[in-house]
Amino acid sequence: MTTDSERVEVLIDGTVLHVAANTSVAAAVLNHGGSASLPSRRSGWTPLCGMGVCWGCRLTIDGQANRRSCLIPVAAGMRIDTQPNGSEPEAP
Amino acid sequence: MSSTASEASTYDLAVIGGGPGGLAAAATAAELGARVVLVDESPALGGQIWRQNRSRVVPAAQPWLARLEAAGVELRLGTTVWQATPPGNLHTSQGPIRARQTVLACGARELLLPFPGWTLPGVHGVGGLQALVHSGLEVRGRRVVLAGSGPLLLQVAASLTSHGAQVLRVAEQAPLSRLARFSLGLGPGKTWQAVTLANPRFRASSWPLEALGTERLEAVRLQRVGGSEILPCDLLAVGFGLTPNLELPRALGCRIEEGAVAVDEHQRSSVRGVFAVGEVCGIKGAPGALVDGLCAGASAGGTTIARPLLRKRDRQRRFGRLLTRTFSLREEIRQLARSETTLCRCEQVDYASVAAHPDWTSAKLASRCGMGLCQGRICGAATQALFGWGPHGVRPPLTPVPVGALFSHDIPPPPPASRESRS
Amino acid sequence: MSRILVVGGGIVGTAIAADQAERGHDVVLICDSPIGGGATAAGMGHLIALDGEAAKVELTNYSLDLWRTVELPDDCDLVVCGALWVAADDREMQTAAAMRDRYLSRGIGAELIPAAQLAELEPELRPGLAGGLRVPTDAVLYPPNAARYYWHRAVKSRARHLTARVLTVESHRVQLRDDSSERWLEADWVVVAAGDRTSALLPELSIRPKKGHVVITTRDAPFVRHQVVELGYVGTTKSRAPVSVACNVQPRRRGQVLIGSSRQEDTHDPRVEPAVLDRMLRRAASYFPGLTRLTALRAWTGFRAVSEDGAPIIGSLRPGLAVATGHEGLGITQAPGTARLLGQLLAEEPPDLSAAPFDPHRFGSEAA
Repeated sequence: MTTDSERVEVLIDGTVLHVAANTSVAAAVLNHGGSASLPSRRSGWTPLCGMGVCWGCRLTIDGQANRRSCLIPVAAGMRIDTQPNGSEPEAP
Repeated sequence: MSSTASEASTYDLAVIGGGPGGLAAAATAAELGARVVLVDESPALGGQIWRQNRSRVVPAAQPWLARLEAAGVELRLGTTVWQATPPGNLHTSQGPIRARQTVLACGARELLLPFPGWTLPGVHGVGGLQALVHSGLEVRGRRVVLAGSGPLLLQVAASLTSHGAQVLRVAEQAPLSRLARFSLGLGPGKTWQAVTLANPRFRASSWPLEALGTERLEAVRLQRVGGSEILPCDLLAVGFGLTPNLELPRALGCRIEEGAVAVDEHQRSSVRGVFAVGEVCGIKGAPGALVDGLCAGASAGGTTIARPLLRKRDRQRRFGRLLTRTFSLREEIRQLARSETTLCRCEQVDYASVAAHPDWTSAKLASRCGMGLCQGRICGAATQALFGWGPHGVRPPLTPVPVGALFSHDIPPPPPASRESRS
Repeated sequence: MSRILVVGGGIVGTAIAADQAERGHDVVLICDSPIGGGATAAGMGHLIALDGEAAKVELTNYSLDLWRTVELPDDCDLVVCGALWVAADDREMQTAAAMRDRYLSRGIGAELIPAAQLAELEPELRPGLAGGLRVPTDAVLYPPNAARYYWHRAVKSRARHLTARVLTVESHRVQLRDDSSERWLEADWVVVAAGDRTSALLPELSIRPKKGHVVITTRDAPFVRHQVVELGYVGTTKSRAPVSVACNVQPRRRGQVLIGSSRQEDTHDPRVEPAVLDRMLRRAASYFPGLTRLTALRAWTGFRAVSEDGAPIIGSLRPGLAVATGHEGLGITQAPGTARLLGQLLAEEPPDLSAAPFDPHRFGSEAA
């Protein structure tokens, strides 16, 4: 078990970040600028429900697309990508 | 008899959901000798209400975790049930699980209704923001407005404050007169009224009209008695109450009454071998879920439910009904969206494109609302509240999963439930 | 002007409604589910020049030509992606070569793809395949809105929709139930286009349901470019095995991937069967190993309507009662041709193609 003060190293869109252990990927991304750091899209990236229902928090984690980042804890060495190509409706 | 791989996955009871109701049911049944498996989609136990983060639960949950462990309940966390047939054939993202009985403790989600700007980054569900904070979102110094309806608003406001957030406003759409009756109904010793009146940020008869901002949330416009107010803020938490997660109960064929799984005095659903506890059989809060779980655990474990427990449960059910009456939504809440407001967030379908149709199926076929990743959990619940459209059919996978997770050999039906088999 | 009652609101019923209404007839379409909501919505939505018996091929090609003349609205998501028939071994490659010759003789473009070029066309296909056959004109679309397109055309020519359950069909009249009251509607022609429900209304016609499963994924990075079908597919369409599966993977315009296909006889149970999904998806993944990492969004089933000889049934059954069904997996492909042919038959015009192979009376003495 890890304590709250520990930090782990993750890669968000290729950038190395040290984030608090015991946080969800969604919280970690929000803490590091949230949607401001993500590719801009029509409706942005918005973890709405925080509990795995809405899929608004979906990200590519360790190569697997469409992971619900609100349900997944960060882990050392985790690769987090914000799906520039994936899973978004086309702009009209 | 030698045990085979498939037998290794056969249980007396599968409990789906690791919140208070599921924990109580699993512990109780296991202590009575049942072989129990507890399945939850989250990486940690506690459900939405008792989970603090991956490794911590609230103190109230601690004794239950200890009992689970002592009674040998097997845990399958981070596991998604994508299809189920009665009584306990579960297809999951981690392979099949077979059980003679099932306790559905799938909980509830927030009712989220569309209003202009609700898709801006910075707008979250009330419970959603709470969950994000529990899982590490930093809110110290952030300006937060909470708006919508239900006791969760004040609970979350208090929690956010304790995490250092600056709560600017708690806007509850219900009128003060109903809230006062609610407080009285709780009886002496309940502090809801005190909390309400003591919180200078609380406003009754107030609700969100519009989230403002270009790239992200910058302010919110709230309806208030006699006009509206604009509050610049960093985060907006909205929620219009809770709605049971009925996908799995409906896949199993459980009878639904008044938007919740119908259960008898043993917490049995209409489907043999399938029990339901907690919010999924009527919104009532954590204490009520706990009592439900104790009852279901006893029933599933083959004993009778103690009389005081039954009385306690009746009280909790009455409280649930009082909740529903108190926080029923006013008509204005159903009028917040504009034609161009997004209704289906996954497929980005606007309000007008959905409202043009006579029913959910037509709307879905023509506009694709509800066809995205949430499978209509958000917009389907919204159209039910907005237009009174009936609940839509459920299809596997009940939750999107990788295609590879759908590989599964057919599970043979389990042997008929027998009380002797547990000993 | 005649009064026409069309029973069934799928792609075939709506195409017929449009044809009849545009001929100036007074059309009422009756169905109890939304337009395009039945087997039409369940289908994969391919416009495909499927190889096979001459008569069916003629109807298919006639119909595909008609599809090319219509201006489909954007929400029909038409993509002319082409079909790529994949050969697993040299024997299948010979089959592909023979298919190419038949396609070319019918004036349909088709080219053999050598093994080396396969990976270029479809990088996600597993290595080691023998090659394929590419039919560039085949397409996919979103069927519910294609049915709605035909319905909008019908409405423009004053057709009306009645939401009701049809209980009985007879010459010149149908009995229906709406709002719990039962009544008869009279007409010059009743046209039954009720897919696999046709036998329930017209017991003298044998239409068997053939159940299919489909899985659709979320939108992600492009995965396939063509409708990719294993060459064994044609065999499975004729299979009488209890369950048969074949790899059939299609791109949707909005980035989703549609995965099929399965065929099951002797069941009316609409539930998704995990065991069938398992077989179908393993089959598809044996061609596309990367499929397993895509996200499955929904699985559903539908029932193809299959006649005794596998060919559609199109034409007059008796005076005042006509039928158009039995298209199996080609309902979308063959709908416009079916509607045009039926229109010519009912108007007693010389048909553009021979109607005899589709004659409702071809099955022997019991029919009609």
